[in-house]
Amino acid sequence: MDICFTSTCLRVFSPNGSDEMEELINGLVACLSLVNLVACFSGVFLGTIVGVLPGLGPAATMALCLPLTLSFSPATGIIVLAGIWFGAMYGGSTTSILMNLPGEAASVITCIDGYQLGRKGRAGAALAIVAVGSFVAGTIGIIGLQIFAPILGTVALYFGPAEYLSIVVVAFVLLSNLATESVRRSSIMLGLGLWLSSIGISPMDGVTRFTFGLTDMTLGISFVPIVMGLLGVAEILNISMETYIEPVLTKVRFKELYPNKEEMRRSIGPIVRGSFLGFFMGLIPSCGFISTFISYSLEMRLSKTPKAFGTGMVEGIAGPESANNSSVMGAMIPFLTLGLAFSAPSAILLAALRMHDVEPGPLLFLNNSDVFWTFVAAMYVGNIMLLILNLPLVGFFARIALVKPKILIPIVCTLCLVGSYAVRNSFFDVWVMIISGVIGYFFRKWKYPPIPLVIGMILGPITENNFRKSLKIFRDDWFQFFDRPLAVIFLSIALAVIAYKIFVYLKGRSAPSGVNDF
Amino acid sequence: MTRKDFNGEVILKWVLFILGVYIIAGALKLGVGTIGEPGPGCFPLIGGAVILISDIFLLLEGRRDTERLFRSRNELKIFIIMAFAFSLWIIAMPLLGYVIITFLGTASISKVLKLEGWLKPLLLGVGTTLFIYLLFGYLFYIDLPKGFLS
Amino acid sequence: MRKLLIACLMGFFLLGIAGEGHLVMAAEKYPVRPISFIVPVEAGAGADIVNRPFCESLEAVLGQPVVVVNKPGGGNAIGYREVHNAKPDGYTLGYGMGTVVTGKLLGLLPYDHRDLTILGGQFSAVPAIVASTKGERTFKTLPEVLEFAKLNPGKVKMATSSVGGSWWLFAMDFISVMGLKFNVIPQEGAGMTTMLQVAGGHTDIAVTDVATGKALIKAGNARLLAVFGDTRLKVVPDAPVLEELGIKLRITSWVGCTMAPPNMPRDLTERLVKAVETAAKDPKLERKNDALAGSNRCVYRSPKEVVEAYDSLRDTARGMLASAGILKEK
Repeated sequence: MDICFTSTCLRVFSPNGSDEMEELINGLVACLSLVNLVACFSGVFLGTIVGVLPGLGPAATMALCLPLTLSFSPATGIIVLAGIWFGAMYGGSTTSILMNLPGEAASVITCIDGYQLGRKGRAGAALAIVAVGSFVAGTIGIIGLQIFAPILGTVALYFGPAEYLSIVVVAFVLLSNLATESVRRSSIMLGLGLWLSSIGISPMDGVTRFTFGLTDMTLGISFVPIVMGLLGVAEILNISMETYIEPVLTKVRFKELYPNKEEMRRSIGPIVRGSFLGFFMGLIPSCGFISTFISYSLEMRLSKTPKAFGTGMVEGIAGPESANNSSVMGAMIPFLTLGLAFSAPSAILLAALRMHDVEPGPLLFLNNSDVFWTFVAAMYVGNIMLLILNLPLVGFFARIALVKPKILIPIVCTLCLVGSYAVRNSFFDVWVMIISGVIGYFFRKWKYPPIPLVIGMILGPITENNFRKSLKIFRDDWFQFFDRPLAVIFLSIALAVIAYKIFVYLKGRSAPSGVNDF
Repeated sequence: MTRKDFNGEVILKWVLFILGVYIIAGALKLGVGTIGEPGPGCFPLIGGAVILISDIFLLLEGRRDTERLFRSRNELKIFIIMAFAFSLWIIAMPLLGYVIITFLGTASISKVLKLEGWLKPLLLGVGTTLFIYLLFGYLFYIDLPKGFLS
Repeated sequence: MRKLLIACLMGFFLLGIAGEGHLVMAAEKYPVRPISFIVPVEAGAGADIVNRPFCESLEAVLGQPVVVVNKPGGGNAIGYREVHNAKPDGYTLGYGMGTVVTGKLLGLLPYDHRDLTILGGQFSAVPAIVASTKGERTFKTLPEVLEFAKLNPGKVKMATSSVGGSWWLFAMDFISVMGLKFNVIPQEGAGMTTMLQVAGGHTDIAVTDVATGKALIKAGNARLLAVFGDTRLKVVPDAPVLEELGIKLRITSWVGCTMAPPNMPRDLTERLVKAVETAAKDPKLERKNDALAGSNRCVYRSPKEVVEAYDSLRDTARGMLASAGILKEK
């Protein structure tokens, strides 16, 4: 009787036949071996530490662990490395929420509302929402990976320069609502970001641009030190100057460390939306972390109180952080099906797979499908481990937020300095951080918003390179551009949004209450 | 502080103006290229133009009532000391090594923030240094300079 | 009094960590402590991954840990600078590639391979020419490409690495030796993006790394037309080599070597040269490297041979960079 029931369930849940479910179960059994469980836990534990520490990325740690993984089976090796990577995704926003210090590109958006939540005393709630959101997003991502891997793998191939260019245009249009302060100041920051991103060796021509003759500048300005300075150091300087006021509540109740019902309810929508958004954007090479920005912009548009964003809205962290986690899973699809590794961590995973004689690609599913399924199973398990690991940590970290600045600030300073060095083993980066911190302080006081600068720096290289590549590819025949359905679709979306905004603006002008900030 | 009329933002606006001009000049020197073969200067030109045009609008806007930069002499003092301490950290690092610098830096910054006595700052210094050493130096093996003790 | 005592204790404790037991230097019986191996790319990049097994082999020979330190940036210039400025005591070594030659030519560095101590070459790499299977032009053999390019100069789209980069030099060498004109579209980064252009049909051919393309080639998204150089690659034994097709180029391979700061003491250099030779010829290294299944081969070259290869690269590259307008020797 129950055999019938189980097999019916299997048939319902696996569209590709019951043997897929069987494979997953085999994978689960394999991954529940002691070795693999320990591997999984060590990986996610290490990854969480890496993620929390600002500046330090998972790649360096994964590279260190690479030789260790060779002594084990391929599945075990992958589990450790992927665990580190995934764990780092969970912890990245911790310092963003506690100290306005983004540890990597994907955590920048979380600073905006996350830090404000922290200042309001809701740091624990913020951290917990991020943890839960990451868990849900991770799970959705893994399910997506499991079911759609073979099908969606080739999506990455469709994205050539024309498509990237159109996506970037859509991104600029969609993200224009993140310029909340004066338009003039926002566009200056955008221009600055675009210029800063061009400093260094131009990839397409090999010439050095704006390097002022310094060798260090030829490497370009690394993104993480700038945001650490602009957001983190500027805030440190700000706090150092404030006279500290003892909080009235000397005892913090346990319940206050975690989100209340209202906050959880408001987070559900953003988490789900963010998960899907991140997953699909992760399929496009190098576009994963842009999803955090798009998610934030999306939540702002969907919210009934867009102006409240920036003062501590849970939607502003739930969405982006979920997008972040699921984009990692999305990026795994082109990786596993086509061997396309676009980030340093995935390159290391690729090397690890190869050293074990496992070649990602269509053959992966034929020859080594057990590796794939053990990996998928391990990701489910790891995801659960991370949730269990992170939730109690929420209480621990939230208490850190209550430590007196006199004690906390010096420690944070050291973390910033060492962290910005750790990005590329370079002192130049530390200088970049300090200088952006000092300038960032002035920007804050005079209300020049940092986010447009960040957007400019991130989207700059993609825009320029694909713009120039498109010009070269289509120089003989421009109409070929319109043969590309994806590119045309994205451009049409962008034009539609622009048209809509112009319409709304004109309508606002005729009404007496229309306030123009231009 | 005494001169209420002085708005420092004006300096920033002019700095940005000069920067915008500099960027555009640099971009033109790099070569903008043609439509079929865009050069390396093409993109910085756009960036510089955005800065310059927006800045011109800003300059035309005139003065705005903004928050005071530093509300008191004390704030300015703390700001300068902190910036100085950060810089010193980098400069002295190759000479003294990260252990000593982290210890001294952490202790001094906490004194600036008025941590009482001197036992607490020293403890904080040692604790932080140990923490950094264990995590970054040992666990993750980041190549931090050890100064003259290596 | 008590406070003073505590302070002193802390002081000693700190010095203990700082010194890490090195305050007493053993009489020089090199090596007595770990050696840094500076790799001028970030963790996870190609040159980083192939050197980790090499460092393990070197460690087995020298008896002390050889630790990879990543110093990326500036077209590898940052890493080379670190090696150049380090103390010539044998505790800082580094990985050098063709970029140590082009660095000086591009004005990124004031010195090149002749100002560093070359200890021996361990790797050799070549790119391959791949063609798209789904673009508007699908070429099946290299002669087809050459034929078409001759009749339609500047129309065949070729993707390759960034200007001045490794595969770009090979591509340019190919183009100038064959006397043809292509629409060369450089990509940011060296491998994945380039491969993606071809696999997605956005360009017709590409000159790039074999390793990045293997999965895509197997899946039928791209076709391997030929491999540069003069020896067939173990990883793709069926692919014809350019020399077999009668095409002889000036740049034959991308040599990866071990370097040390200038002015190293002679006996230390000799010791290290021997160590590098043993490590490079280690069969375990070859096995691990082959597993990485790339265009990187374990080929040992003596220091003299490495310098010769780099000199020849310098002469060829000088011309190509000049015609691309980016020659800027300091």
